[in-house]
Amino acid sequence: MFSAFKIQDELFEFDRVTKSGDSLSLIREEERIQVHCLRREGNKLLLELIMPSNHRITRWVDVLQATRNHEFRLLFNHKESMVNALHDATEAEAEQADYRAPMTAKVVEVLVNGGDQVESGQTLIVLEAMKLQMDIKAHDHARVSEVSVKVGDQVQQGDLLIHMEEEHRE
Amino acid sequence: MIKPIKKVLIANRAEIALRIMRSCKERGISTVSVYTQGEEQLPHVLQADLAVCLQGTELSETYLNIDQIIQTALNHQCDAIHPGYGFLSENAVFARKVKAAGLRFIGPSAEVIELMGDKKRARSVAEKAGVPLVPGFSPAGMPAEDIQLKAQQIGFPVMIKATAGGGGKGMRIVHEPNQLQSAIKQAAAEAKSAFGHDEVLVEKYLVEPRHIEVQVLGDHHQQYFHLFERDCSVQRRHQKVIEESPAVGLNEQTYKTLFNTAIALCKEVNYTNAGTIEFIMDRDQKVYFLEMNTRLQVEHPVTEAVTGLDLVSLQIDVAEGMKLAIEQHSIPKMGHAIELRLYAEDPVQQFMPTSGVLHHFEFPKWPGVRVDTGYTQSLEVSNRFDPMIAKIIVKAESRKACMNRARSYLQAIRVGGFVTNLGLLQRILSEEDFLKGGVSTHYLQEHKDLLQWAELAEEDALFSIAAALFHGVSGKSAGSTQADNSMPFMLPTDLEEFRNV
Repeated sequence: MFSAFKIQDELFEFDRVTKSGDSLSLIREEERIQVHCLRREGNKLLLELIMPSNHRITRWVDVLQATRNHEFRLLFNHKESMVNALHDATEAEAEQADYRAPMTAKVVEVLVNGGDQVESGQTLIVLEAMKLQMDIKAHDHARVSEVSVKVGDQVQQGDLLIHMEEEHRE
Repeated sequence: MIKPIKKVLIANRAEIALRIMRSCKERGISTVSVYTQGEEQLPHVLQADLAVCLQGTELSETYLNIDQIIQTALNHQCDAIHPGYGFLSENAVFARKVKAAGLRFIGPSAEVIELMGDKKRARSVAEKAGVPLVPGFSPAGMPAEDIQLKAQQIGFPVMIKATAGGGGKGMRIVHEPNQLQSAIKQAAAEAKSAFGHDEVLVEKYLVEPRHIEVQVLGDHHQQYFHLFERDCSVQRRHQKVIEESPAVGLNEQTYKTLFNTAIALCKEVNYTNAGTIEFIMDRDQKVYFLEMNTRLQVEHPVTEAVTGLDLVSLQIDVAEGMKLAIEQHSIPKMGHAIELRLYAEDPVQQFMPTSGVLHHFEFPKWPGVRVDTGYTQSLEVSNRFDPMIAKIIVKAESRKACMNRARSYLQAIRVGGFVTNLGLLQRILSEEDFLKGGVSTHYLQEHKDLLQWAELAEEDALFSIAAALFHGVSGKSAGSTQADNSMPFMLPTDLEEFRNV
């Protein structure tokens, strides 16, 4: 079961997560948060959240997308969020070292090689879809371990583009 | 002379192909649709009387292949071709060849398409018809000091744009007089590489502009009509996202200028069939000619909603040579309508195109709501084509009621499988400035908060985590029901109730 979750850039960790049917328990510091899935209608889930204080709220959440990399795009109350489900915080560290394709696209430029030292904000790869270009930029100061794609490759959403050396991350 | 059309080839795909097909069916006209390999399951293939697979893979070999499309029409004894919008709809060579092949083109004449497709010629014919133009000039061959002087007369900021092409390429906004010369050079170079011509224009740049357009219609009996205005100011990358009619807050004088000059331009060029004259309007409600689109527009359902007219059917009337049996003063203008374009793109990631399988795609039938889409549940949306996957048109007696209904409807639909701009549409419909009305074309640039991840409270985060865990990674959830695929859209002729809401 997943026990760590990255939402946008924030990490949420639990001591234990258990799910049985339509009930979910998230346990953190001896406190239990319970969630019930009351209804499923297509990609819409009606969820009831029961906080340790016994405060209860119920709301519909739309699941826009779920990828094989356990990334979920959600929409509720006009708000968008992205959850990345991880097995634990170590995986969160490892995930940080992977740069994946945010959409199905063609690789039009590869600007780094294995072994290169890159700075935060430096453009690593340029992707193109529907004649629009998107820069994949380094989010950390790191050393490139491996570039998994070359110019002209067609990549699917979630495909690994670049892996960074973990020990060189700061 | 009236020559009824019996069989139409629809040279387009997805929602607009279906939209055209629907009006043809109402009139008892047979339809032939075209498709490419991989599109066999799309409703425009399934619902046509006959569908023909175009040979080739690239767009230039298929939907943009003039000769193959005309030959297909001839092979299947069609007597007319409807181009829809996009693709070959504003291609004068196509219109001319269709006619030369003995077929009717459901659209204006090739000459008008050509004339209006050339920005410079379009501008001068508009000027001749008395349509106000954005003050501007062509700097080609002018001494530097004259360019500077003329620009000063117009007043800064000015905009530099390429005479050919569009999509923002070769465009520059210049705020400071001393940057004018270098900006002209840069824009010309960009235009040269993008379109092969380096000709540019210097124009007055409007602050807080609104995009207002007038739907027009002409027949072969010198009758010209306007079907009121649409406000299409909510745009991203110069492409429309939301359109509505009527436009909020226009005064009598503005209406007069818009409609009178639109009709005058139609007369000047002897316009036939449906078209749209686009204007740009400044803060003082001064309107200026932008361009004329010589085709049916994506947003035509907004006009259908407020007038109760079927624009595609009227296009066919015109192509058959009929004298349109409508009178300008009796064209109804009822209530308020809005169109929301659902795009396969990610609004929080610079509108990057998305694609994938529509695991969930369900639109409940509501009074006052029409959905035009070319897709059904379980179909794949690829990024080979336009990212628009559905148009949601909502109508009500007032703007406020229209927005309320639209907001509720967006909560009721089910769209899942990949990211779309649904969240953005929902946020816009709850945003104060938009609800007030009359926003400018800079609306989305100026409301960056609409294009961002939510600020998450703890319970928001918990809901997000729980939804991820309950949903699992398969993309499909157990309770998923198959959508009713039989009728993926509602059309105006169904809509006595749509009218009367």
